[in-house]
Amino acid sequence: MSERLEEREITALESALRELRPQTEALDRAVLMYRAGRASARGWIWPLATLLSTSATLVLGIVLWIRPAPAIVYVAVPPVDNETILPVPPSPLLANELERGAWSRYVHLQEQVLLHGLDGLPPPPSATDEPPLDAGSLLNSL
Amino acid sequence: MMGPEQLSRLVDNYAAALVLYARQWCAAAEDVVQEAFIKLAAQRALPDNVAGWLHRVVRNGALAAARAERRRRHHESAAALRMPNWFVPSEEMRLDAETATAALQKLPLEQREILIAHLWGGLTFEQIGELTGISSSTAHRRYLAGLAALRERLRVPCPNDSKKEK
Repeated sequence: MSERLEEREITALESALRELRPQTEALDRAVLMYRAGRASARGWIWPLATLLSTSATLVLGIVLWIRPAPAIVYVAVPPVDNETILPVPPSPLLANELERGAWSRYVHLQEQVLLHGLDGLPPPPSATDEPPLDAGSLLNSL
Repeated sequence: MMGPEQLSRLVDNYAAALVLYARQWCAAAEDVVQEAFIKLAAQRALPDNVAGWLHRVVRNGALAAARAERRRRHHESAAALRMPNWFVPSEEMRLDAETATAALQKLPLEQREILIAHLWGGLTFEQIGELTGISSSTAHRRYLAGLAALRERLRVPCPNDSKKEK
């Protein structure tokens, strides 16, 4: 009988205790959620990438620091002999012109101008004697 | 990975009980509980037994905080016992918050811890045994001893007795 009463009292005490709500005044829920969100978003990719790039920077810096300076090599250049300069052969187009004789006429005319000035030029053909030359005939005269 | 809704629900369910649990050892109980939830949020996968996991982390954190507090203060007076009230005062309750706090504080720690973990934390005696390193039967025995001591101090009337009185 007394055991049953004791049991009932214990059960009543348990339910009365459960009714009590623990104090949580100082627990800032917003701060907790914010910090928990940050913690959950913190992955391993960025720290790993930072670690790798930092170590690569350090290694490259050390290699640059301990690497010997590149040696300067002085090369003796032989003096240029003017006689050894070979004449430049005329281009194939020019050679073709020379073959046709036009080039020799041009050179002759150039020499006349250099020696006597414009007076050395042969008299131009009179406008009355000959008809004006068209582009085709001018090209053919070359 | 845990979502904010899930974390919010866990905070609603366990934060208050965990703060009360941490107060057995240290004054900065809220900080300890906050750190425990942050550790939980950082977990890749949710632990199988969330309540047990949280209680374990809070217990370890509270013990570490208590050690740090003792080092700072150079005396053994339990900061937790200086807390005015462990419960929200309310006239609707059958027990007075202050009286209940005082009665609980007088219990030995080994009994008080089990009472709080079971009544407010909702842990089974098996989980409490795992948490504190004792068998579930020992945990149950200590729980009953704690309740018996509280019954002497608080004198809670049985619901049937109150009905008879009416």
